[in-house]
Amino acid sequence: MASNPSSSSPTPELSRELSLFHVTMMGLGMMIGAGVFLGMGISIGKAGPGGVVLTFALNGLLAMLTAMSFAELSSAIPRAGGAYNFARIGFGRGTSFLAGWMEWFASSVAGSMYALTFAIYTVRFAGDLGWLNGLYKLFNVTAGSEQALPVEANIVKVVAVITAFTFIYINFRGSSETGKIGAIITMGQTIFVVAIGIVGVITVIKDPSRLENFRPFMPEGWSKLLITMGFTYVAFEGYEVIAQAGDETIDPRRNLPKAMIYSVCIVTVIYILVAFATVVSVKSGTQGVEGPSWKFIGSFGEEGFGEAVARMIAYKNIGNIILTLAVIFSSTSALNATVYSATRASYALGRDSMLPKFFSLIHKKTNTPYGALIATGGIVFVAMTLLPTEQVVYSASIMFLFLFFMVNVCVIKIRRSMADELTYGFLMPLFPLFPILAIIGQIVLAFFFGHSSPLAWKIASVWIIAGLVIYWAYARSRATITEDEILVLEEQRHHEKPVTGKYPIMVAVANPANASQLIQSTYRLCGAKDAHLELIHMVQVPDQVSLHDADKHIHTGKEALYEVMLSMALHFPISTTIRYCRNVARGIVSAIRQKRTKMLVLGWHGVKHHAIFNLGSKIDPIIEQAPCNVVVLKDCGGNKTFKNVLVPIAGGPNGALALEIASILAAPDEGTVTAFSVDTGRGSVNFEQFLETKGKKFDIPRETLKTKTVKAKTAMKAIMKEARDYDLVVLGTTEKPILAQMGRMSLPEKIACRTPKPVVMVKSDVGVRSWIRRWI
Amino acid sequence: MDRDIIIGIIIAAVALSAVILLTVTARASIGRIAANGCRTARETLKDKKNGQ
Repeated sequence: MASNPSSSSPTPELSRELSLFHVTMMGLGMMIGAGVFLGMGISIGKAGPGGVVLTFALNGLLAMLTAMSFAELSSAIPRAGGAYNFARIGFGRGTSFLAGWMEWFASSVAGSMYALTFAIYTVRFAGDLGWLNGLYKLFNVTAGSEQALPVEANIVKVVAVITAFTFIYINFRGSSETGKIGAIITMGQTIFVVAIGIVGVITVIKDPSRLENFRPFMPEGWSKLLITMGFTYVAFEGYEVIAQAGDETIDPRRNLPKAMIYSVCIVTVIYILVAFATVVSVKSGTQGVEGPSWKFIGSFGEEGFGEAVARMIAYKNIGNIILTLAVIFSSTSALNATVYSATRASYALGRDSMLPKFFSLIHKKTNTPYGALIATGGIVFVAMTLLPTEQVVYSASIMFLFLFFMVNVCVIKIRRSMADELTYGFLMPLFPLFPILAIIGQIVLAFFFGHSSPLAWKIASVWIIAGLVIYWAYARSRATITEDEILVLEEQRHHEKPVTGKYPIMVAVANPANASQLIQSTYRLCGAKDAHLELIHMVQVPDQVSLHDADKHIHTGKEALYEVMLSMALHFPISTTIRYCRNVARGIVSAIRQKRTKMLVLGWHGVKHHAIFNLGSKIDPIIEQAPCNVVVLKDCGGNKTFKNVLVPIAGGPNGALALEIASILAAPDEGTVTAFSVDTGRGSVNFEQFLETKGKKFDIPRETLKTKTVKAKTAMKAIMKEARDYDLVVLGTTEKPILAQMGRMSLPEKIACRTPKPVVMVKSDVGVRSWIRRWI
Repeated sequence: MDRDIIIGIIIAAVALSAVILLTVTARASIGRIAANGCRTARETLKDKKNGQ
């Protein structure tokens, strides 16, 4: 037995100091920032006075639906990592790479957005006080003139760059703001924004004629609503940061979901209030306001909110000072958090060898991941300097949209496939209604993004495609399996010799009864494929049991492993592995990915025990998820020779693999394989065409192959009747995902269960198609 | 009041009510699971499957 890793390398654990209040404030701090200060003015200009209020109300609802998904997943998997972690557990490392890759970009661009927000409001404030007049003179322009606008835009960019790099340096020094101090700052900015909303309501009570600002309600049409919703989507992304605090939160299974739900609810109410206040803050016909007030506010673009609020507060200069201070506090705390979040995402990818080592470099003195920080700084700088402010907001929004879409898919997948083994602190009601509604909403917003900001769509697409290329070309072959409580806990190899050029076959061995039936068939398969054999035994360790006691759970499996090993070791290069896991099926799938196995061989007892699972709770998910060819053997042990092998064909790719496996298992000299098709009135399989198309990837010897077609009312009865005359039945599994079958057995499964003959079921790996299907 | 304003008020009211309702429902769900001490959602799920 290998020593338990936990004894030699204890898992680092952060002290849990953040209460419900702190994590709620963390989320609010991320949300109350650029969303209001940048988004409000632009949204009023695009959607009009009614549109801006509805934008925040509907976005709040959409955010609440996604927050439910985050809340449920965080309560079940309360660990740092957020979306990256959920995707890894739900779909494996390919999807988790994409989640981490998108999270890195989204957070970095959001960092650019916060730096720009800070710069815009600081420059505006300095301009109002006349501090920039000297600078304008230098460029021979007058402050407030049209010629001054490009100069002002460049000053904003320079201030933003300085601000961003100041915070990158602060992050490098490791003096990151803690949750507790951040909570106090957030309280301040929340009070300020709420105060603006209250002043707005008081203003309307004093002067009800300001409600006329809402006429016309939707001057630009209702479709603009979807554009502004997409634009301000980033203003609701705070619950993503709460999910990151899983390791530091007191009682995370309760407090994380609560904080997420509370923060979205609070921020929605505040945003609606502030949107209302912004619309009524400017009165048409007053000084400088010609035409409708919403057009006046919208004409200032990202500064619209500041202009409107300053006019509403009686003493403009005091209003400006308070506003600027609020923006400084909120944007800097959000900038700090996003730089931290982006660095952590890219560092995690580097640590797991999915990105080059540079990303995982740790500074000796400050202990900060400076490689990831430099890379994050690069994205922040490029986004800030090359993109217009509006496009920066769009780019951050669309990437968060895609990331949250992924989380909504993850919550469905994880609840469906592993709900019975995770300990949830919160289960969303009416599942899966909310994630499905959120997914639909996100698809609609993403579609409208294409109209409103083709540039952001292109940027997001290029980034995602680049991520996929990097994954397939680089990360996929290098990624290390990180310690994951749900997947693999420990691995032990008795024999460690790298074997190259051989076809890797893995045989999952569970008990001696299975072992004996596996030996003969595996021997044939290994001989035909010139294979390297990997014997694997999965030891399932219950959640409650310490890993120190894991070896107590090895019962007969170890003996079975040795039995197969002794029979095979003389003939083929062989490795044996014992793995501890929480779930056997996922443990095997993980091992297949790690060892790049091309074929998995399993034994099956042939009895259906469970109402939900067709072949078994372990075999069903393996067949569906294994990224390789799978061969399941039933009653193929002993010294059986298979002279006549029946292969029912329906035309799918699994049928072609079934023919190849049948020809391998058939008796070497006298064995024949019969490809059998049933014509139920809808036509039969054209075998020649089938072998030319589906069969060309497989080694199917034509000389021993017979074909037969019968007419019958039902395929089931015809195959069962035909099987009586054969020694072995080889079946391709159905292409239909297990979830779609809803517990109903497919035809191959029914035959496998009911026929008294030895049965082999096969499933071929169909690469990308299979990957997409698993995703869906 | 014109038609757009009435529709807008209804949409905003429905959205806001839904947000608050979801918050209250979720809060109650979290509280119920936690109030049962070691009783986990896993057991709740099993109960649901068993029709209890």
